[in-house]
Parts: sequence; C-alpha cells; structure tokens
Amino acid sequence: MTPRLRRLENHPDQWLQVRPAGLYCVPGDFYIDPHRKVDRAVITHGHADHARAGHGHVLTSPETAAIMRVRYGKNCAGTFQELSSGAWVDHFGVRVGLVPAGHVLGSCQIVLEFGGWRVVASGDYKRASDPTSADFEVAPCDVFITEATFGLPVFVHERAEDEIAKLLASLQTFPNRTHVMAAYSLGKAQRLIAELRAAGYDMPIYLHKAHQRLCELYEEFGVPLGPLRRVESATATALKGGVVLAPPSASREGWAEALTEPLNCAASGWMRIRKRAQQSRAELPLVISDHADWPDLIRTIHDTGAEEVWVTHGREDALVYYCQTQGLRGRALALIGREEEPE
Amino acid sequence: MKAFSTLIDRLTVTPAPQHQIALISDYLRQTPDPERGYALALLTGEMSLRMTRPAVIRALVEERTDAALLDMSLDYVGDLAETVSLLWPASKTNRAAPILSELVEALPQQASRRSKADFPATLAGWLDACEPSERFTLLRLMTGGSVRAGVPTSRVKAAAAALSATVGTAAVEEVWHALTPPYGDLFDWIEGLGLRPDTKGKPVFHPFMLGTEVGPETALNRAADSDWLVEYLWSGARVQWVQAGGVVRVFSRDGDDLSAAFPELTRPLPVDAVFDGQLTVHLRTEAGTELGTGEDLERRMRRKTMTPAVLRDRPARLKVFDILAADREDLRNLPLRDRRERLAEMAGIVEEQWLSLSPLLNPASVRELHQGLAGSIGAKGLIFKRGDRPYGGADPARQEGMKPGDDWLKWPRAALRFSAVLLYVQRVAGGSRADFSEFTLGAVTEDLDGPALVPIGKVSPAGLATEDLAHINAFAKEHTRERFGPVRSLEAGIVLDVCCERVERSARRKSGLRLITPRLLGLHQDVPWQQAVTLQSLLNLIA
Ligand SMILES: [Zn+2]
Repeated sequence: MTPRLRRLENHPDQWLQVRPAGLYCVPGDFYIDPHRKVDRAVITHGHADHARAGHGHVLTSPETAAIMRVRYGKNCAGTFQELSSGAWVDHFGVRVGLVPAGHVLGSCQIVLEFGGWRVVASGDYKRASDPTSADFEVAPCDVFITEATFGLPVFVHERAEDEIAKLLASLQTFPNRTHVMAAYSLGKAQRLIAELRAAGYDMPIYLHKAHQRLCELYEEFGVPLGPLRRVESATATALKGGVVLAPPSASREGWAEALTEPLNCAASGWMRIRKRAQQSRAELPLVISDHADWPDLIRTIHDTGAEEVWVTHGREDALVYYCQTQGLRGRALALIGREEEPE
Repeated sequence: MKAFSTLIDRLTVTPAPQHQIALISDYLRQTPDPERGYALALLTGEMSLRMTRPAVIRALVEERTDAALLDMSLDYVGDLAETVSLLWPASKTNRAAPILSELVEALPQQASRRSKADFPATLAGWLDACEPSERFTLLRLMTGGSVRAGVPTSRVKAAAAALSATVGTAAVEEVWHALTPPYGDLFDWIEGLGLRPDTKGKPVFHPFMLGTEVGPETALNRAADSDWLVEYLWSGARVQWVQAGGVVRVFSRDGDDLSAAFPELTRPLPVDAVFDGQLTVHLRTEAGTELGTGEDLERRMRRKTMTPAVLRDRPARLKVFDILAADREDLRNLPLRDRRERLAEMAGIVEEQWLSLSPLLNPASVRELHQGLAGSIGAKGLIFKRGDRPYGGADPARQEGMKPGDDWLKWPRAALRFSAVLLYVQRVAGGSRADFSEFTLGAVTEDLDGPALVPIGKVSPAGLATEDLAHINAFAKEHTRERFGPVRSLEAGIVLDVCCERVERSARRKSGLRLITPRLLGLHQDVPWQQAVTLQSLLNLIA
C-alpha cells in the first residue's frame, strides 16, 4: 500500500451509510449489494440476496454479470459494467476495485478507496480451496466489512475432500440407493460436482433442470464438470446407486417419487450442528460450506490488518465481541434483507 | 475412533432398520478385533466407558476458551459435549486419536485415586488428538452418555450375524448372553474360524416363538379343531425367564437383559428351567393388588435403581405359558402338549408368589370368553396353539429368527373405534412420498366458552389413502394456526376415523389417558369437529 494520509473527517463512518436499500457509498452515489432496485449498484456475487434484478447500472465481475443474465434475463439491469479482478475504476473520486472472494464463480470483495481510507466489503467469502472459484485474496485495508454467516466458534467446517469421501463410502455401503443431494443451483451444486470429480468419481451425475443452465455457464467459464445428465429423463433403474443434485424443493417431483429408498444428502455449514442436521432429515449430512468458518473469519480479520471491523450479516455478536478482545473496533451493521443464507 | 464416531453419526440420522444394519455390519467387516468387539459392547449397552463428570469437561474447556464465546456457543448449541467437541482448539499433535481398546485399558486405572487426579490431562491429550466428530463420541462415552442412537440390541446382533452366510440372527441371540466383550469367540464363529461358543450351563436367551394375528372366523375354526389348544392372550410384556446353573435372567422380547429391573423374579427355583411368559406390574392398594397399566410396566423397566418401596408397591408378576428347558434338558423339540405337561409338573414343585400358570381354556366356550375379555383379568385376547408342534416351529424358521408362524394364532379383543380431530401435523422435510410423519389427535371437551379440544395422543398417518393426505395437505395450507419448526397446529376442521386396542389411564398427560396402539382408518369428510369423540367418553373406556 502506498502511504496514505488518513484524515479523521474522511473516516468511512462519514461516507459509508446503512440506508433502507443497503450499504451506500455517499461520494460515489452507489450501493453495495442493495436489496431494492437502485440507480447504481456494485455487486459482490450472484446469489439472490446479493444480486437483484432491476438496477439502473451494475458494476460487477464478468462472471457475476453472466450469472445475473442467466438467472434474471438479458435486460435485468440497465447497463452492466464488467470489471476484472485487479482492475480499478474511478468514480466521483472513489476508487473501486474487485478482489476474488472464493465464495462462488465470479464472487469478489469490493475495495473502496476514498479520502486516504481503504475499505473492503467482503460480500460472502470462504478461504477453503474450491475447484470452481478463484481463491480468496487478502486485501489489506483500514476497515473490513465482513459477513458472519458462521460467526460462532462452534462452526468449524470439515475439509470438502473428507466429506466427499463419506459420500463415496455411502455409495459403497448402499449400492442400490440413489443418493439425492440437496444443493442450491449457484455454487454449491457445481462445487460438489467438481469435488466428486477431484475424488475420482467419473460416473454421470444427474442434475435437476434448475441446475442445468448454471452448470453450463460454469463450463463456459472453464470449470470442467464431467458427464452430466438430466434427472427428469432418467429411469429409476438408471438412477440406482447414482448421484442426483436437485434443489431442496424438488423432493415431490415425479422422478423423486419413483425412487425406491432414496438416500437424502445435504451439504452445508449448518450440518455441523447435530440438531440442525437432524431437522434437515438428511441421512448423510455433509459439513461443506461456501462461507468462511469461524477460524477463517478471525484469520481473515487479522490478515487484512484492519483496525476496524464492520459485521454485515449472520451472527454478529460473537465476532464483534472477538474484535473487541483483540483491540479492534467491532461494529454490527444492521443490514436488512439478509436473512440466514440458505446455503 | 474415527470409524466408530462416523458410524454413530450416521446411525443417528438413519431411520430404517435395514439401513442401520447395513451401516453396522459394514463397520464390523472393516474393523479389526478387539476394536469392533468393544464397539459391539457399546452399541448394545453391555459396556460403559464412563470415567468422568460433565463438570470436569467444562473446567477443561474453560481453561482453553474465552468465557463469553463459550457461553454464546453453549447457548446456541445447547449440548455441552457437542459444544466442547466443536470449540476445542485444534492442536498440532503427532498422537493418533485414541481407539476404543485404549479407552477400555484406561478404565481400571481410572479407578485408582492417583490416576483420577491425572485424568483431566489424559482426557485433554485425547481431545487434542481427535477431530470434532470423534471428540463428541469420546465425550459422550467418558460421561456415560449413550451412543446407541436408538438402535435396539436385536438390530446390532442382526448386523453381526450379517457377517456370516450361515449363522442367523436368532443363533447369535442364543449365544449372546454367554459371551463377554470384546466377543472374539463370537466373531471367530461368525466368520467360520471357530466353533459355536459354548453356552452349556449359562443363562442364555432363546429366540421367541411368535404368533400371527387372525380374525374371528379363523379363530372359531381352530376352536372346533381338537389339534389346537386355547389360552388367554395376556397384556403386559412378553419375557423369557431363564435359570441355568442357579443363575436367573429375565430377557425382553429383543433379548435384552431385564433382570436388574425385576429383582423379585430372580430368586432361583429348586431346578433350572426356561419359561416363556408374560410379565405384568401390579399396584398395591388398600383393597389388595390391581393390574398396572402399560405405563406402570414401562416405568419399572426403565428404572436403573430399585428401592424397597417400588418392590412393595409395584410388584411384578409372571404368567407362564410355556417351558423351553427343564433341569438342563432342552424341551423345544417336544410337542406343545408334552411341554404343557412338563410345565404343569414344574408348577407343582414351585411355590412362588410371583409365578403363576396361564390356564388352558375350554375350546367350546371361546366365543363367550372372547366377549368377556373386557373385564379386569388382564387379557387382551385369545391365542390358539397347535398342540403337536415344537417350540419355534421348523428349524429353518428358527435360524431366520423372529418370523411369526402359523402354529400360534392370536385373536385380539375387538379394537375401540372413534372419531378424533386433527390438532397438529408434523411434516417430513426431506421425505419423498409421505407429506407428514406424525399427527396429533384431539378429543372434544366442554369449556366455559363452548366446545374445546384437548390432545389425546399421536398417530402415524400411515393408514390414510393418498387422496386423504392430499386433502389434509390442502387444508393445512389454508388453516395453519402456528408453526413450530416442522410442526404446525391446525384450526379444527379435519375429523379422522381412529381405532386403538384400548385406552389406559395416564397421570402424566393433560388428557389423563393414553391410547394403546392407535391407528388411522380414514377421513370423515362431512363430520363437524364438534361431533368428534368427547374426552369424557374416552375416559369412560378405561378398563
Ligand atoms: Zn452468497
């Protein structure tokens, strides 16, 4: 970082505000991940609670722009301005840059420089390796605005390869049961497929129609996913002993009804908590998450060198408390429209 | 430890018995001795590795974590062992996680006072070497918590038998109580490396002979046939009373040892014997004794410690109807008539208050007997048994275990039938076929403001047709009052056709009653809920 003159009157408290539509940058006149339609939005990644349709102008990564067009249609924003990570734009004196967040394809942290201060809004992020997403990069800053989906010390994720090994072992123990994995269509589905491939699973994987288009998009962006088939056109016999990826809501569709003794699987950071795993009724709950776990949340806070940490959504209390014990200024940003991310 | 904790984790979320068996037998196949033997002992509850108290664990974690973060975490997770398993700081250690055998070896040392002081350090070392899921299982074991995940012992034995092509579940059950952990001789036998473990002179379990349920037509036919004997079908719990070498054991239907819960039944008789019979619990009143409810019986079965007051006020009784061995002679291959004679002889030399003989009934009067069952003799029906058959039926069936045969036919008392209001539905979140996993039923009471509803019990939706379930589903969408997780409370509107075996008194429930084996028969489309059964009329049905 070049030496910067940080004036107190330019403190980010003065130019970054929580407004009803979301986090607002006053001098730049834009929102970050607004949950209502706005004129100008900077968007971290394509999940529905961060990327909404109907904004006037959207600045985001080329991948996220493509994801938004697939999900919401070509005209889901007035104009798209695509910015690759590492590049910068200057907007009314605010320098805006994108840095990979490691969450899903195209996910970025947003770096803002203004008045000598440097702020990083992480969006959702993770630091575990993921074959479908560029690795998280540490962006040094004065104020780090972090998510806290798993902001309690009990959230310690497992290594994805260990969890995938459990799935492969289960396919051996139950060679006649179709393993139906509930997964959301952006990120989780593709990562599970890629992790299965990395573990040497080369059988066709059956996809629900909701997953197909985004899987194709991942492949267009150079993420190989191996042989994929549509589950709706497969017979129950073909699905025997196979792996199906479907959204959690699809369990009452025809193909699912036709399965004898399906084995329901779920992959999420919430599966860490036994009560939640039992509530999910999955017979194979896997602790695989697209979000940072507690050790990675606090490691990242230290890595950024930030003196101040703003917590946007999730379990703020513990993380804010932790920052205070470390002599950092911690603050909970009460952003609305960010319920527990279904992950 | 990892394989064992992974098994426990999976059993906890695997509902179907055959899938639980597959998971356990996979584990047993892939795990060496004596590790798998200790696992078997823990899964059947034959062994406990309790070495410490939760307070010791709490102190250990408090030394290592921030108090406020620990509190927030405990608050969120609820369970201490689970919270500690996740919060415990990861540490770089060259030690491998402890295996069960290592824990078993530490057990006797733990008894000495010196190592008791060292124990927290030992435990911390183990926890350091574990991953979260292993830590959870370890902590459960250390505090004497159950890791059995609700799997009945018979299923664990079936999983062991599944390692063999020739040894059946029933055969494993027969030798089980002659064995001790880590069961090396059992595995040798099952895997064809050794002989059947010797059970001579030891009080072991004998697989039960089971009956099939029939209706009045078949029953009256059998009554007219002189090949068949008739007895009461007693309520209570089916048990096996075994005395061998002067040692007495009482086994449940699943082959679990109940002896500790019923010490009054374990006084040895002058000769060894094996009885099949029905266990009941009685309540001592001023007037004498009266038969206790199923709830009274379950409560005594669950007791860990016995007090003189319980033995005095809630005595157990055994009604014997068959004899499987007498004076070390296996009688199972004798025809029932001959066994009955031996049983009568034996009853002649036994004078114990807790033991009585279930009488043979006059076949000519079965119709009247069946009608008269509502009285308080404690029978729930009649049973017809073929007099010329051995116990357990043919040999292959005995190998297969618990298949009900055609040699014993049960004619239960007619079920009670009434209509009840659907109060709560519980949804299956990930299920594919059924929409609901459980219904809660209600009966009508008279409140100050008019008719109201009180919950009377839960029932499986299994008996309903698909279109009935669809109707309830549509109703639930429109008429949900509140949600509690997967459970919704509904407005009154759905009236169901219900039957149950009988109604019992229950002091613990708000309704004051308990439905015994309730089932759903259908949906009443046009009955207003106010016309469903009243609580009072159900209470009147308590025998
Ligand atoms: Zn996200």
